[in-house]
Amino acid sequence: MDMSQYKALFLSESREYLRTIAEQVVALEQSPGERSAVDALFRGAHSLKGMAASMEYGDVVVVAHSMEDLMARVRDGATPFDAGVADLLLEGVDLIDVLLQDVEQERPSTLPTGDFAQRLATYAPAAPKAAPAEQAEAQGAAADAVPSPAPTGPAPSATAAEAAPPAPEAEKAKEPAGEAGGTVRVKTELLDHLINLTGELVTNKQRLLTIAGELASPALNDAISETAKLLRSLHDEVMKVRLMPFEAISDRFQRSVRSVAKKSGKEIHFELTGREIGLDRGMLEQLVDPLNHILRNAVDHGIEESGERERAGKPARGTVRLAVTRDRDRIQITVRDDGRGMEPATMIAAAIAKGILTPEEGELLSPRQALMLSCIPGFSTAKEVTDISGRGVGMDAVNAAIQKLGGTLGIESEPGVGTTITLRLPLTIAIIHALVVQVGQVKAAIPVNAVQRTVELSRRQIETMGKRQMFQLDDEAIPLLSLNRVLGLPLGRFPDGILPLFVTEARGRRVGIVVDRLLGQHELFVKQLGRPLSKLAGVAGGATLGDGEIVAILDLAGLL
Amino acid sequence: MTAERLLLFSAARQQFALNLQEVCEVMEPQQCYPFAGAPPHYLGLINFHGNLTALVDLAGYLRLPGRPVPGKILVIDTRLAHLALRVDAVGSILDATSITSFGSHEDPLVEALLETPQGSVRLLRLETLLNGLEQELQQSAPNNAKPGGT
Amino acid sequence: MALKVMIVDDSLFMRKMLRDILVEDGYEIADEASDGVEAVAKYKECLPDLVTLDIVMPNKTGIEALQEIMAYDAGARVVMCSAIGQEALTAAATEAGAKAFILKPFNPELVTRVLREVAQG
Repeated sequence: MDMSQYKALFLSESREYLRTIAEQVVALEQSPGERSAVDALFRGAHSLKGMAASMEYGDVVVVAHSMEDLMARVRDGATPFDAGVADLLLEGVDLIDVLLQDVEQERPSTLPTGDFAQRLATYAPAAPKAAPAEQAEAQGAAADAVPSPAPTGPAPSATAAEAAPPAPEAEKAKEPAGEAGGTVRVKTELLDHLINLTGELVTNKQRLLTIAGELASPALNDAISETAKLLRSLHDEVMKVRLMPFEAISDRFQRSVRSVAKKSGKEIHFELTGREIGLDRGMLEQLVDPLNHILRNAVDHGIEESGERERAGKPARGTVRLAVTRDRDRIQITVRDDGRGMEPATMIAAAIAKGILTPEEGELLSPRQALMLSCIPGFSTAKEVTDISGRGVGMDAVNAAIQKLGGTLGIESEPGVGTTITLRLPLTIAIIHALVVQVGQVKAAIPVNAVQRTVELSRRQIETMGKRQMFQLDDEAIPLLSLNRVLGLPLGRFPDGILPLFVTEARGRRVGIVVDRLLGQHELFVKQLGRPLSKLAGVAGGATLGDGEIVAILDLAGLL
Repeated sequence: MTAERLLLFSAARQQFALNLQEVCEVMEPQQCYPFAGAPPHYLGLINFHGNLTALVDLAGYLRLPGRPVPGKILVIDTRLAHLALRVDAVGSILDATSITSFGSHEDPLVEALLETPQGSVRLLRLETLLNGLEQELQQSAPNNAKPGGT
Repeated sequence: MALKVMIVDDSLFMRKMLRDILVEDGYEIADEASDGVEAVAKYKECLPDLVTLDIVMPNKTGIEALQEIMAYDAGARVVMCSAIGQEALTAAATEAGAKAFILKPFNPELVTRVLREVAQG
């Protein structure tokens, strides 16, 4: 039997099982007794093994089989589900994930799997030991009195009720979106192709509009405006097909919160709501890293040690909530922690100490702007950067990634109470509104979400402060920056003494970006640039204007 | 490893070849739209069947003197990259069996130096070319202009 | 006339494979189900000539579904499917009325032979 025809299905379904397993492991840690989660874990490993055996992927079979055996022991009560079991299962998930990538790329696998299987086969729970320091006060006495093999996991009763996802729901979600119920599986490439065609049609409609303008034919105008309506609904429908539930990526967040909490020795309760909300699949992938970083920050820097929390009259266990909501054509994602919060004055002082701001500039900042300082490269409020948060990716990269998706990032914080980071994103990324500008010989587009307003400034309104040129807007001194200069193009001359500019926010404060000409707002179908231009900093993609001209879409966060 | 069929072309008075499978179309020069921020050998963007494709002057990238001819455009397979190369001329398709000698070359961009009935030909390594272009873009990130100048 | 088979397995991959094997051998696929509860309900709807029934499934195991199907239709011809490691359950399944067993991974020739034997009684 030719098995290659089943490979794509094998990969997609196996990944669904991996996701279920990871989710159930984390759910079980929150409420260890959950029988249905134990069963679901066992079934996940069992099904994976069966599928891999059919495809004759021996390595996957070995790993899945050892996970299945371990879960059978847990199910039959021979092994308690403790942190060690959870770690091993998650390690297995990662291992299979790599093996599946090898299968997908059709390259031989180099991962040794025997050692892993051996460790699972011989796994025995550690002897009960004293609870971690911060738990000692609450649980210590009981644990000492009754040396039971029960896991020193999360505290019981109180948290079981609020524990993340109820297993039956997760079970339902796991059921692959199969051929039942009149649905079919479609390859992503086919979807991308449909969207591409729709985008080309939108571009062509723009051309027709131009021609109709020249011909001045009312009948043609009517036909085009009808076509425009139809195109709009075609576009909306095609975009809906690309939507995937947030849960496609959410298990990774549970896992990363779990592992950071473990490394930093903090007790965290993690809540996730809105896992069913649909987001564009392209956007989902690009949200993983930014959200991971925000969550790690919340655990690592936001939540206090449990002793400090108790002294402040807070529950010893910190809470991090990730919530996804949808409001018509916008998606909102919030990460809320009940930790120590951020103090605007401390942020300003740190920025001044690091030479990012002058003391005078610091005084001009509003509390909201002060919090946005954390999005400046190299800025961190933690006294030292631990390995957990990673040195490479800071909030600056998070902010840049969100802007690249056409979204915005906001920070609210109350010292002592906690911090909320809010991401607002468009439902789809393919069609955006953009301001098209002329700089030197080239045109460029700036997504309107990055543009606060446009201004035509007379030279007389420019003030020079030290080396900087500024102008006054709403009683705020705003520095000027030439886009030509940023892009390495010849500077504009402005013979009539009027400087066209748009106002954007960079590094937490407003900046006026001077261009040669403002050419107006356009609806653009964003295309990715692929290799090699996707590596060009400051460019988020490209688009075709109505007359066929191509413009680059600038990513101001990456440019400034 | 040598591909079975190679596409021969020339740039800056030198003969090059690419694996025929890596090239999806040879085109006449066409309208190309400049964009900012990239090194000068990026001539601009072209629209290749809806793919926005970077047009790179191969001679310029190799720091070789260009020639004032209209040239041809080699579009790289769109599954591998969104890249088109401007070259001076495109020659024949060469069957690997007609290669008379096969030598190595110190430039990592050149997979092999081939002796063919048409003369000696540098067989380009596409992946190395793409990596080189990407690295160059990362290094030439826009200068961090200071506020003030207009 | 082609015999109608109902395929029950929680894995879409496994269902697809079995479907291809059976269609190739001339069977008609009456319906598919992905868990025990669905299997029982669909059996009552389509009354297939044969059922392939996975053992490890959510909501209701294959054994439980088998018991309910047999209680509804004592003449049901059900073939259990299971992966290596579930041999312990074969006795329970036979007792509940299963006509035969197929081991995963599926060997197309074995699958069609077993089904033919069960179909012919």
